[in-house]
Amino acid sequence: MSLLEVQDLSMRFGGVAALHQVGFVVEEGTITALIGPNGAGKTTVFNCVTGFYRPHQGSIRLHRPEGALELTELLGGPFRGRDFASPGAFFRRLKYKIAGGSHLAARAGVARTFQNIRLFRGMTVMENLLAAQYNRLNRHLLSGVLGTPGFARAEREGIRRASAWLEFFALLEDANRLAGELPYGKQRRLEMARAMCISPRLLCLDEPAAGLNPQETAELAGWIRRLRQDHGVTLLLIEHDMGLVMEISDHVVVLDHGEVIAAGTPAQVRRDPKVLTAYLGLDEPSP
Amino acid sequence: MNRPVLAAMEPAAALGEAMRPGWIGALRQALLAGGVALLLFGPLSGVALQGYDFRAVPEAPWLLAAAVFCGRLLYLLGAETILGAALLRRLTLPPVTRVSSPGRDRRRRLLAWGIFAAAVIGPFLLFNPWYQHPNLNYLLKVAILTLIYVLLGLGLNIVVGLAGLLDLGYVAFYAVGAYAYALGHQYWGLSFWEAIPLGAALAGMAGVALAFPVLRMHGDYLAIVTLGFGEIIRLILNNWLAFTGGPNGVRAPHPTFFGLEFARVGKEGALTFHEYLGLPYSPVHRYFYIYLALMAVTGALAVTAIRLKQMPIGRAWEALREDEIACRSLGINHVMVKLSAFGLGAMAGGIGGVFFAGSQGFVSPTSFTFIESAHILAIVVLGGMGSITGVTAAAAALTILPELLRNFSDYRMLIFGLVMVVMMIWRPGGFSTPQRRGYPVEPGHVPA
Amino acid sequence: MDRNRVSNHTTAPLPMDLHIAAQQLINGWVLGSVYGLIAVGYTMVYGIIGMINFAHGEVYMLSAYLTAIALALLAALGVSSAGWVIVLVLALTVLFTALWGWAIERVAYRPLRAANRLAPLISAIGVSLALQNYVRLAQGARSQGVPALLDGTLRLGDGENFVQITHQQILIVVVAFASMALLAWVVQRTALGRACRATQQDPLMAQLLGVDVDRIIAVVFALGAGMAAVAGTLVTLNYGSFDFSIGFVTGIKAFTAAVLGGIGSLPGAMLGGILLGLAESLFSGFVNTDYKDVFAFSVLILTLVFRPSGLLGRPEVEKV
Repeated sequence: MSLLEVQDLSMRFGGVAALHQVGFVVEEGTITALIGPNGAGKTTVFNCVTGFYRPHQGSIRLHRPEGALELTELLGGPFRGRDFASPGAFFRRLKYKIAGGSHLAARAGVARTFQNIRLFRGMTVMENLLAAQYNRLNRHLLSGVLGTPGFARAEREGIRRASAWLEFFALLEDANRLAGELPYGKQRRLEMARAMCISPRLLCLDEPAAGLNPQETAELAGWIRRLRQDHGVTLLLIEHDMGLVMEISDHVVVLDHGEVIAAGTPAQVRRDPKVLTAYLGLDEPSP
Repeated sequence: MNRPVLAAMEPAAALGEAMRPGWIGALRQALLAGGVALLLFGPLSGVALQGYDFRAVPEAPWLLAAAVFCGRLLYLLGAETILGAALLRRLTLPPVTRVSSPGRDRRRRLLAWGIFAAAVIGPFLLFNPWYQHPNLNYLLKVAILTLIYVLLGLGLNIVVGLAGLLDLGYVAFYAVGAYAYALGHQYWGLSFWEAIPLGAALAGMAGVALAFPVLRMHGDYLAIVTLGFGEIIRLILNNWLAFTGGPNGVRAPHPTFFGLEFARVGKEGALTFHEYLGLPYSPVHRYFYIYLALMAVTGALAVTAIRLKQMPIGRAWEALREDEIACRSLGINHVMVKLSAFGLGAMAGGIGGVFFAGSQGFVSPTSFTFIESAHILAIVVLGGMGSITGVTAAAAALTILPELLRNFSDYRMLIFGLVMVVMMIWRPGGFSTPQRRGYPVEPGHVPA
Repeated sequence: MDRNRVSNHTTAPLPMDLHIAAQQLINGWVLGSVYGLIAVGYTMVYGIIGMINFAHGEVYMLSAYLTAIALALLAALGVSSAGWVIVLVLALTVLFTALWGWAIERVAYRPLRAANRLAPLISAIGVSLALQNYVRLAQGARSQGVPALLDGTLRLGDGENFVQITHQQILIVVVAFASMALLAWVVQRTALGRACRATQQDPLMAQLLGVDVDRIIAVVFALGAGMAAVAGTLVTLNYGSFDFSIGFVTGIKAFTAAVLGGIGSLPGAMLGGILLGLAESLFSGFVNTDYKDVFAFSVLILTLVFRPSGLLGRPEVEKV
């Protein structure tokens, strides 16, 4: 069953077309890699999927048990003619215009990391994970100030969940260090741990192996696999490390000049002549 | 928008320019600085306008330029010496944040309660049946003003220090609170204690109404919009003569003790506080009462502020200050979170305003100029943006020092301004060592 | 700035008299050119380093004092031809104010380029307070004045239905547009302007291509201050009176003009200035004079709500 369905996605910056009718499907419980040369539009696809950019055209559907959600509507675009024809569409548009925003994508179950790591650097590692659980903790102002049992219970649960993910990513002993002080590799892991704290259905990793040494990359592959196997997370990742991509992904989508030029299993994509043309001389796919 | 790129280009800005210019180089740089200063100050300080004519003050620019020259030279030469360089590094390197080990902040808590108890008991030592300080009235007035500034500082600290939103019109909420009481009393006979929740609610609503439309956009706009809003409120208070009394202001009665007035003789023969308790009349009672009430409110707010930092909302404020985009990627509704910071900060301002009106007995628009906003901002900046003890100490220092240095009151805002610039360059995090709470980890759970 | 507003509401037989409207439009145009000149400083600085220079209003205030000082000195030296006085005063004021703009950037903003977003804003507030109070200490808190240089008035119409334009107002509009044209020429045609535009597009790349970005940023501050000085001189010559606190409100209004026109855009600054000037004049002419500042600030808030990128600005794309 597909979890994410991207169709006909187009986006322009100024007059430049960044994406042109991009379409692909992410099956539930798989690891899908989005690859392509620099400037192919991978991060733009990511920003659309995670609700940061509003595409000019196309649809991004997230299929959840409780029903499909159109992610492109979350940012509250301008009214269109057909909105006035159906009251449902009209009110949806109005609702997202007033209260819409990127955060709704995360609440719907899409978490992400960033190419240039975005941690809360001045806060501790534990606080980073607790901040991520904002929507799951007891946010009642009075019970927080008075420290009621209900509040304390929710906090303890939050600390437990955070501890569990820290343990998973081998960061437990750094729990009370400042996030900005961590070495680079640990910062990447912390960002993933933080994203996992919102219990996403789909985790989008933007170049998770960038800047890691081979050993760290190997560890990363293990974690990504375990996330899928043990925790049922579906993963969508952008990655330049072809070794990693070919090793862990079930499905590969190749983007070039804002268009999907190939899609399939790693083995299929590797043999695709169009992919070879796009990559030849730029980035040799590893055997 | 280009800031990150520019930041990447200049990694160690503060020290970078002073990097070992050598003795000759230092002299040359200092001469240049002095020369520029002479040009800058020459006309403005050297020519004092008098009507259409002027009076030459030739020595003033030279003195200023000499001060700049000496300051620059000492700074550069100081940086040359080992001792000076070490000192400079100590001064300018950002302090390392200390994370307290989990559950070990008992000593700090004890200290805080100690200070609170001393502040409550202190005045009783100066005013009791055996000893009465001759100048207590004045001392209490200063203490009340200090506490009001602590209150305002704590409120603005939520907005600027924790949430990282620059609010330059904070005085508007202070004004809303003060006028809510004064006008509420005049038109509806509102009492002081009724005015506190009303003032807080009105100020909070004003804050939310103002911030909602602007919070979605580039952060710097908020600063200038709040600046404009502060001005709008003041202009309305000043111009709406029929309702607010305009520049003449409004009377705001002092608070009463469960209906008992603190006057020598009660209004229309009503029982007064001193008559009820059978005490001799003393004007100190009134200020004593306001002081204690304010102490309770400020204490409660301080506790709230400390708790907030360990609550989801407080963590969300700080997270938003650190990285808004990351927050959104985690499902945090940045608009609502900012709005809550803005609203809560404004409420504290409103409460401060009610107390101000009640202790002064009178409000007028002149108390709510931009200078007042700047004063409160200076408290937050000096206090170290986010540190609650720091803000309290800064509020006390910035209220008491000007009282002690009455002769220098003309220089007060000049010094505030310069200190703000210097602080931002050298110690943007304030003087205190930033402290964060550590959390206990609970290993052995399976992530879910 | 509204000394020349004709306030003959009482004599006007109809509330919406055309000649009053015309008069207000003229006054608004004059006022707007002044706002536009000051707005240039906000817009250029924002364009190049993405920062709102809160101290810009104080730079304008400094230029008013420098104008008066230059006038007094020239009078003492015996220069009396109005033409020469205007030219010299303008040149001196622009020069010294630009130096102030440069110095402010050097001392208070440059060390903060690497700092977080809040630091330069607070530093700018500090500069603003320091400048206001320095001037208050050096020149006194009382309001200052300069003698009128040009007295002539152009009067169109007859009887009570006339529209008048003072020669001072004509001077303001002409000089304002001339200096805007000069600035546009500098930015569009000279090597310096090219470097400015390159830095605005991509400071890192400009640096790599040999542009001294620090110098360019300093030049932008100096240019912005210089334009504010033109405004300061013109207004001071026209209005005559000023004090140490005039920078605050004028600064916010000029910023409003910059936002209205689209911050970062030079033609936008002038357009925003003129629109704001016209709107404000019409408002104070037909609605209420006391609340004209409230009106201007409301324009700012409404612009930010409904069109944050302004009339000529390009919407910002958030970098994720």
